Amino acid sequence: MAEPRTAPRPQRGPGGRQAHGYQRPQDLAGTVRKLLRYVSHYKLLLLLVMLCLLISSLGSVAANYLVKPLINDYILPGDFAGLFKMLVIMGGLFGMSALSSFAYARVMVRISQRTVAALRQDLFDKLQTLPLRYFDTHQSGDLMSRFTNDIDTVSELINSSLASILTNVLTFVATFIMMLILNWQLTLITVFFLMMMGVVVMVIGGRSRTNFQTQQSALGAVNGYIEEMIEGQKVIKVFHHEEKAIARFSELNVAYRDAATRAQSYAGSMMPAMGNLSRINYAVTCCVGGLLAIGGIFDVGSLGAYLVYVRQVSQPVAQISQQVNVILAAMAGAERIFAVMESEPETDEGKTVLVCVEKTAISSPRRRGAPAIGRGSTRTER
Amino acid sequence: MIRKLLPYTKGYRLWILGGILCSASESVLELMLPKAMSDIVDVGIANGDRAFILITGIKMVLMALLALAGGVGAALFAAKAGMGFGAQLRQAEYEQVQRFSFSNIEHFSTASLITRLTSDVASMQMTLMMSMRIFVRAPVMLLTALVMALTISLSLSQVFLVSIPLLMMAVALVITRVGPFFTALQKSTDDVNLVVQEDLNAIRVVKSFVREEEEKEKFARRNEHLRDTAMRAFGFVVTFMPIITLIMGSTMVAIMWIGGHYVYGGTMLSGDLIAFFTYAGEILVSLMMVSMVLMILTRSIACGKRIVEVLDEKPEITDVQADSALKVGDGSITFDHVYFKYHPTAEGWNLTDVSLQIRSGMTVGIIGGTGSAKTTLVSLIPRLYEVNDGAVYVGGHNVKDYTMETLREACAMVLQKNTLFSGTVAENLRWGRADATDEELREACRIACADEFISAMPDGYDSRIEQGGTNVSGGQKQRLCIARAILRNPKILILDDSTSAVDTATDARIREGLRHALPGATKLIIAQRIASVMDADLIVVMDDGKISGAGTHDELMESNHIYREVYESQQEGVGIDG
Repeated sequence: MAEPRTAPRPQRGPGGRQAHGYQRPQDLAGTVRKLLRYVSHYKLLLLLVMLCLLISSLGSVAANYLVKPLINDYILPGDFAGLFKMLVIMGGLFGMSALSSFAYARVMVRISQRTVAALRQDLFDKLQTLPLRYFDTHQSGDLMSRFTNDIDTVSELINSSLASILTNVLTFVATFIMMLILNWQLTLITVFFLMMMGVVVMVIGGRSRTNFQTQQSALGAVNGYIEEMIEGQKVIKVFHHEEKAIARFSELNVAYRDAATRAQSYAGSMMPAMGNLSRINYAVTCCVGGLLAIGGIFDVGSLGAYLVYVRQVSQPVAQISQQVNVILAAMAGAERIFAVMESEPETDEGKTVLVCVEKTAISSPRRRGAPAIGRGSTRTER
Repeated sequence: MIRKLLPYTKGYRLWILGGILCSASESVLELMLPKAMSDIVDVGIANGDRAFILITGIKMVLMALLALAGGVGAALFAAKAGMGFGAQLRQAEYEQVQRFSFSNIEHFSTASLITRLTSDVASMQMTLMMSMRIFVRAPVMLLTALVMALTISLSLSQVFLVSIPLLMMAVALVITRVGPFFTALQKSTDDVNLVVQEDLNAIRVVKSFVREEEEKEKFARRNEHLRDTAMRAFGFVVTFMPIITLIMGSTMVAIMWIGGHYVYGGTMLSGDLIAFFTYAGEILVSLMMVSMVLMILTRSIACGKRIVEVLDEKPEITDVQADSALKVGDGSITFDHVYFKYHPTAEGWNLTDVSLQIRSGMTVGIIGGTGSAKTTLVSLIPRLYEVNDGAVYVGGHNVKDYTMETLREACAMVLQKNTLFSGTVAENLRWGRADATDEELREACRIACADEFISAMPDGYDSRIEQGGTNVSGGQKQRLCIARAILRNPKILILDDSTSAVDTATDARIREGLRHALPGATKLIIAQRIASVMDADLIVVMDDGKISGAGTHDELMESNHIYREVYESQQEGVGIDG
């Protein structure tokens, strides 16, 4: 009865700190624009990244395509001089792909860390200009989490998600085109299974999202309660309130466990479902491809190359569907950072007089004037 | 560490087992597919046997469906087991913290305890879930793929004798070298966070000293350092993938070259070559998965250790010596040659040979400079800390003879750093006594001079208090805390500098109220202003962990020079303050 209720805090506080999983930004376009302003310092480098990305993804797709001519034109007829030449090309493609992926990764690290450092500095500088009232109305833990969690998600976004999404899109498109070139009939089967995957993403993904929201608010409640109780632990001891503090905690802990089990069941099923749909696709393709080959419409080398692509084509889809959440979380984080940056700074009104008085009073020799400040702050009691 | 955490999987072990089985069967089934495919190519296509292709195809679809069931099953079991384990661990750790004494809490610090209860536990439950899937999947895939590759062609498998050691070397290099990079990264992240935290905590000081520019520069230095460290760490990590791509690419080229000769020579079928190609990919990918799991595992070991530290911490104060039937008879307090220090390893004492007699019902003022151990002295009465030598008696019995519940029921203490909890005003007050009536609440608030501002709040006693009491002022918070303690109706009431943010007039009214409230209760008041304790029955002057003098105001003015000096300096202050 006596224990205080921890209301779920959707916007700020410890709940918000953990609730990054499926948070959505309110003004996506605006946040993207603001973030782009930070990244746009590196236009040339970004261009380089794009180029490397293109080389790296197309390189590996092309290298896999070589399986077909290798088997059909060189191995089966026994042309080993030609095979050697082709293998050198294949090796060259892998090498180029590795080199360019190394290059873009290094450049991206540079861009992301510089951007994030600039963001962090601007955020800190901005905090110094905010009036005391701002710090009275915002919990320091909440402000702290802009520097830790929110910056981290943004950093992750720029560091890996951006490049990974581009690579995945490129790989997907290139793979799909190669599949069409190799055999359009078989590609129809793949299209059917890709559509099935789309359905899975929508159904499981949709359920997963609503369950995640419940999980995150349950997590916010339990973490908020932990934070509040541990911060007031000494008062709990003095009032011998331990048992009540445990009772309420147990309720929240169990509620979170149940919500999280549901959410994780959906989230965890997604990848195996996608992966195994892709394997069913592989099985059907093998069967139909074999039948086509007997009919003489298809050859073994093409089937070999095609099967490599079948195994690959669903990976980008699965990865992009996962990255979407990282991006949205990062955008929500960025939005919270920009919200601080756009708060009203301290304006010099009548208060200036008071600030000046304190300044002159304190700039006198004694530096360690903490007691003076202490008294100053009690005087501001409303 | 794993042995210590294992008990918390209790009740979920069957789920874990089920998950492992599901995950393993998914991986094995999955790897049967390329072999079946090679049969289609080498037997079905080669012989033009449509029926064989169809039957093999159906078998493959069935295997994939079974793998689907296994994969989804593994996910469900992992969710159940991971979250169940996490909840039990969190519960055990939280209950352990509730058993902590003040010194246990200080040993860890509040912020660290919160991390250990929240993100560390989250990391552990994630680790269990992940390892049930990936940690099973990767080795099973590796082994199955290796066996399949060996059965297809023993001689072609010799390629792996080169590529696997190469890959392992690359992985080992990364894992061993990456540690220091990330330790450095963690350190500079902490440095940056520390500046932010200090700045936020001391924002008033920063602003009134106009130190913003210096703070910005300080932050900029650490921020740049963090940026450079991060660039080095991540720059190193990203070399990993290209190296892997290179090794995998060369393996593929080698397989094609050697395998091509076999196929042409007739010692190998072309379908087998394609299947071998696939297995080679799986072997290398699963090796990478193992290395990734290892990296995650090293990180979560750190979290696990931090949790175990909390679970292993011995609660310093327990009820072992207590007699649960013993009740606190009266509010008399005796300190008998008490020695105390906060850190067992510290050289000096925080309290040195303190002896003091307080009769039940007395009002006692405690005065002394900062660091003179006033708070330490009174903290020993409700046994918030354990004395190192000597003894503290309450109501004629050693404090260790009472259960903590009985003792703290009888001693209400208003801490210097006090906390309100989120909830209504009334809920906060009822921490003092759960079954207090509304009338009792109002009475306690009248004594603590809190009734005026509460009735001015929009919902009166049902108004909400934000977490940490951020929506009431410092003075209001202190008055609510005093009311909360009064409600307890204690035999001993301890106020540790509890009116520091209250104006002098209200302070006087609270003292006046307390004089008549709780008759018979012993009251100990720590104060900065001598005026606050001048008319107490006994005034204790603390100096550097010792009692410098004890007596009434007149006696101390006569005999104690510290008291006299403080009194005189504060008399001047009164003149200026008005």
